Amino acid sequence: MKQVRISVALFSLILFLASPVGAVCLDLHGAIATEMNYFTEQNCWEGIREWGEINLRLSGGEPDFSQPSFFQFSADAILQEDRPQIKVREFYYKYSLGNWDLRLGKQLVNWSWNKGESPLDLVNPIDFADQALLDGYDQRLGVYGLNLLYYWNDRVVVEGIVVPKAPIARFASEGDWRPTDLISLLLHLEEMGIDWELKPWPRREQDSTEYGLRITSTIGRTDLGLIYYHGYRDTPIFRQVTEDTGLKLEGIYPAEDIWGFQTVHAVGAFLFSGEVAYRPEALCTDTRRIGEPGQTAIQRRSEFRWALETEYVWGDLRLIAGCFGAKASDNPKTLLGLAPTLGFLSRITYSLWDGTLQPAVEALYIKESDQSLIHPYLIFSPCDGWEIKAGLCEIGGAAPAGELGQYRANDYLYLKVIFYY
Amino acid sequence: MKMKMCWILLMLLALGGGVFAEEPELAPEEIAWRTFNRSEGVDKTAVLTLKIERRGATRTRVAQIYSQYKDHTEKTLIRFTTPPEVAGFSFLSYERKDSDRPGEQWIYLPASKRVMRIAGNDRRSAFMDSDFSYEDLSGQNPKDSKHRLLGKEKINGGSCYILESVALQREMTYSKTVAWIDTESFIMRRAELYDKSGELQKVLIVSDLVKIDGIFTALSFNMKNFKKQSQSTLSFSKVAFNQNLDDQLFSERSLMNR
Repeated sequence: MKQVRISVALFSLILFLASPVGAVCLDLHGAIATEMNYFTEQNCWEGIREWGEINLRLSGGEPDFSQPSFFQFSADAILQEDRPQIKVREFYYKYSLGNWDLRLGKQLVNWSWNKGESPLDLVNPIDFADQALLDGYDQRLGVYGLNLLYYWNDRVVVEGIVVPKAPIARFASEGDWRPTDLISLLLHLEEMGIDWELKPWPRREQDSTEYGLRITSTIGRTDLGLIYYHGYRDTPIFRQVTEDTGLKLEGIYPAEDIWGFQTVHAVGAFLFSGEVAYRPEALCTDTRRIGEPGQTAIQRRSEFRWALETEYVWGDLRLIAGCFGAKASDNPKTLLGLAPTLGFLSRITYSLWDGTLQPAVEALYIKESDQSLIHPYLIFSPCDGWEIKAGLCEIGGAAPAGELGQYRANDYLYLKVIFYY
Repeated sequence: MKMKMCWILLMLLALGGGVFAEEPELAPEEIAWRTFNRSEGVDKTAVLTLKIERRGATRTRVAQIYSQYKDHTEKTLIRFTTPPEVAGFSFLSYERKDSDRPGEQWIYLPASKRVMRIAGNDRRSAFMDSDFSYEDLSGQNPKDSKHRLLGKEKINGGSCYILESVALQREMTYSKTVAWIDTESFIMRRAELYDKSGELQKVLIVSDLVKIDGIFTALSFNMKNFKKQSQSTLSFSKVAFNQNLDDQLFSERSLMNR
């Protein structure tokens, strides 16, 4: 896997150096950020209270959109109290020829059009170990692959992607955070007095190539998209093997085919968007079923995930409101791993003093787990290049996991200072 | 002989009329429409620098701008280069000149490599957090106001019509606008914008009028906002018209082309 990554990266670099773009323009940008957190007692991210990040972005190419070649490199040096790391977010070469665009290398690909919940954000796994907050894109892991786009009549776009060795989602290396289904399962087993043993965190299979196809079209003020994606769950599910000595739990990453439909429609200052992801006969863990000795409590079922959103702009006020959910074929009340059965979200942002101060509040409620989030925050931009973010996260219900896994504790304050260069 | 005299008199009258009579004045509505519909070619490229001065601090935004006017639709692509926190952000908009409906807008977020359709700003909202609104930049539709010619005055050596436009509807941004419009180019050289209570809210001063590629254009726009005690200056450089820009430049692909 490492060899594939190095080969793809080197090939991208050779293409970049061989093309005329290298001599034209190099653009260096980035950010230096530091964040301080103040937790309450219910802290599930123990030991990670302060962190810093240096982001470096280097791009090459003529700043004219019509030029065919472009090169992008982006990396983060994350300085945490006990876990320093360097993460290459992007490293790709892009070339356009006629109606074709080709992007090769480590890249971010987001097929979702939603701004809140995104069931069709399928390509990039999420990095739950990264401490970045609020900036969703910071938590996405780049994938090494080939992305090919064909523009037909400027109204229809066909996009294909192949990711030879897709990475998995990353979790915090410490603390007791695990996906929702495992936490629920373990609690369930404790209640029933069943002994259990958890095998080491699983690794992905070697042949985990992912690929997908998307066709999008614009008709008037409406965008439509159809998606097929073959991939692997980026968070593991657990095979429960019942033995005489107790229950053995083993994580696996089952392959899955996903069919998606998405639409966005603009009406005046309103924007409506919706997404559906359908997984026919996906493997899942059923936490309620404990098998007889020798049996494995794992099953197949089809599953829908959906999200609807509306966005409204009125002067300096921007409002996003929506709902999302999931439904399974066997039992709609079954816990769906990381998917809640029904949830609501809203985000209101306001611009004061012409953008110098931006108060905002986001709220989320997940019906199945009775979890709620209230997250008021303030962004202060005293002058060009500087940004100060401060906020309060108040999570009601169960400890943050699943949909709320990105949040570090039930209640905490944070302060983030960013300098852009 | 009498007939000859009559002809001479008629000729003199005609000549006298042509030489000594004043140029016929344009109707106020005609001036307003000529200003609103003033041609800026089929397309335009420029580097835009926006300086916002407020509470002693100055913020600067620099962007490359491309625009195209075709079939009553103005398409604009803006790619920000400065300051660093917005570098790489791109913005695409389609505005119907003959419609009051909010246009279509897309943004490109470089960090997440994502093009998103966004809800259209209403024309009264601020352009890039400055003292200019979208309406200030594109102009008020003349059909929404009653126009009156107050006279003529010279500004920076250029002759100007002084045109008063009073809003016909209560919900319009400004209750009254007094504009000094260049008689030759129909470029607004100065404008006073009054709020709904009739108080002076903003003053626009336009300078650096030049002719590029045969088209009159202004390179500097200064807007003073008396309510906010702030001012913004919009400057254009490297202006070029009629570059035969490709239609594909104003597409989502173009936004993604990074």
